[in-house]
Amino acid sequence: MKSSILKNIRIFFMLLKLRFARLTEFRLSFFGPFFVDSSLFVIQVLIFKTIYAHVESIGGWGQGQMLIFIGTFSLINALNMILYFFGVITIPDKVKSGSLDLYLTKPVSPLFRISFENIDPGSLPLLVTSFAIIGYGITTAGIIPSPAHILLYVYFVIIMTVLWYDMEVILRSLSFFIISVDNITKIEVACLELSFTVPGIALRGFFKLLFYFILPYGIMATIPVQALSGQPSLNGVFLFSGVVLVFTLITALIWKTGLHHYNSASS
Amino acid sequence: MNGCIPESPVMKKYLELIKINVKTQLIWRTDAFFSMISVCAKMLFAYLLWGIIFEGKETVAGFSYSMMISYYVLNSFFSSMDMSGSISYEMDDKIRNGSFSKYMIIPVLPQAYFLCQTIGKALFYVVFTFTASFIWIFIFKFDFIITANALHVVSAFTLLLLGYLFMQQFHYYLGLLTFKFKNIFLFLMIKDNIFSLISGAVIPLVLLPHEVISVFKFLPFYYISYLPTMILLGRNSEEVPQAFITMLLWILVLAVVNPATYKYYRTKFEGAGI
Repeated sequence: MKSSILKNIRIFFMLLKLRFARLTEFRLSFFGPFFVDSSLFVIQVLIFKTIYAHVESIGGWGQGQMLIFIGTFSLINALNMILYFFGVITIPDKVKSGSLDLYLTKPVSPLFRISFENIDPGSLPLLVTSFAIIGYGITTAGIIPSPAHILLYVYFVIIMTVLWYDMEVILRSLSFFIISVDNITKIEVACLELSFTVPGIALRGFFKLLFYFILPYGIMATIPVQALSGQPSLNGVFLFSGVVLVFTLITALIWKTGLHHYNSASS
Repeated sequence: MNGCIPESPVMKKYLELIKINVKTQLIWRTDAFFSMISVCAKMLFAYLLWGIIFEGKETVAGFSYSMMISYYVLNSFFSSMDMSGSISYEMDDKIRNGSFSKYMIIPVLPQAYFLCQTIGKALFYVVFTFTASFIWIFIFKFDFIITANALHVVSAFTLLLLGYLFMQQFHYYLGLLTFKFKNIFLFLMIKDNIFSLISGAVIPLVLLPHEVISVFKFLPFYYISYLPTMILLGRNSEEVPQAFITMLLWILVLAVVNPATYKYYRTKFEGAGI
């Protein structure tokens, strides 16, 4: 177990080194994702600042908490962009073209290699933007988080990044079973846009069930913000950790079943 | 065509192009379904977010809850009917891979071709988008608000048509910039983010500070879908004359700039990759 982890860490750094070598060939688009996503999050801040000029709170959240929400979403998105997004999105193409064969013959987990072979350091400045928004939010809200709350916040950000990864892999692993997942990923975009503009606290009834437990995009940024504000109970910590665990198991199951289903288009 | 209007060969050519583009959309039927989902997501956003904002409140910035949801129904329909956004992405792709040369050799002006393509798509999508937008009136069971003043309705729809024409010119112009900058994909994505704010697609512009709105009124984007929506809600009708003048001026500017830009850059196009 320990040697397997150490091996994967070594492979991770090797993939990072190779990626840097490749990125230097396309210097112009190096910071592209940073500019695109930054514009999106800055506009989101402006939108909520505009709304808060007319109302004092939204579902019990003041402007500060909403800013922390946007910053946290931006932070999880930044981790997604830096670490695995550009790798995971290639899964459908690799399945369709048969180039997944190359990954299956290597002595490394195919999913691990695909996920981390396209690390994007150009999105690193997004972390700075995210922390700036979170810092601005904490100042505006007048919150002084305790070390325990900060730890819980960091814990939730990490597991929500895993959840985001799970959702991305699940949707793209469907390419093992159906011809095209292009339109399914459009649903992912719609869900992400919705969860990014509507915090989980605004969800009620059926929509809460849907976006908390079935398509759990609604909890990704909401729960860390509640952790930082000292809102979630111990039950909440277990509940949402359980949700992430269940989706991670589903991801592993779908990937494994998908590989059994894979016929290799090229041979 | 219908026995009443004489059909010139030029008009016939472009009508055929529109027909072909409507038929082309039939191949991508599922795209229509998923574009409906995108419209539904916008409506759901409005319903959930504004539902919680209006809890315990009668009005926000002069909007009642019914008026706010009516705003999103109309605005999401009008915004979704603007199919011109894909023009610049398509041109960016085709100029880079060299296949844009096909538009240079066919006996149709490239801008007119893209206009026909946009109209063809819009005609195909209108039913789906209309259904996706207006079905919420029955699902949410709210009082849909729309003006009964015929003059305002005509003004709003005329402005909409001018707005769509402008957006087609605007996206064609952005596409032409690929000749100069080689790759404008990232710029287009940033433009989409900014446009969602300044066009009133995400929140009604009336919520913005007065000074910002005053600046926006000089830009054409204020009049594309935001003002027609507000007019149909029975508001801002006093802005109609200014809206027509501004839109016609912007359309005129691009009617001059676009052919000149195309003429300048087409000679520099190498068609690499053919």
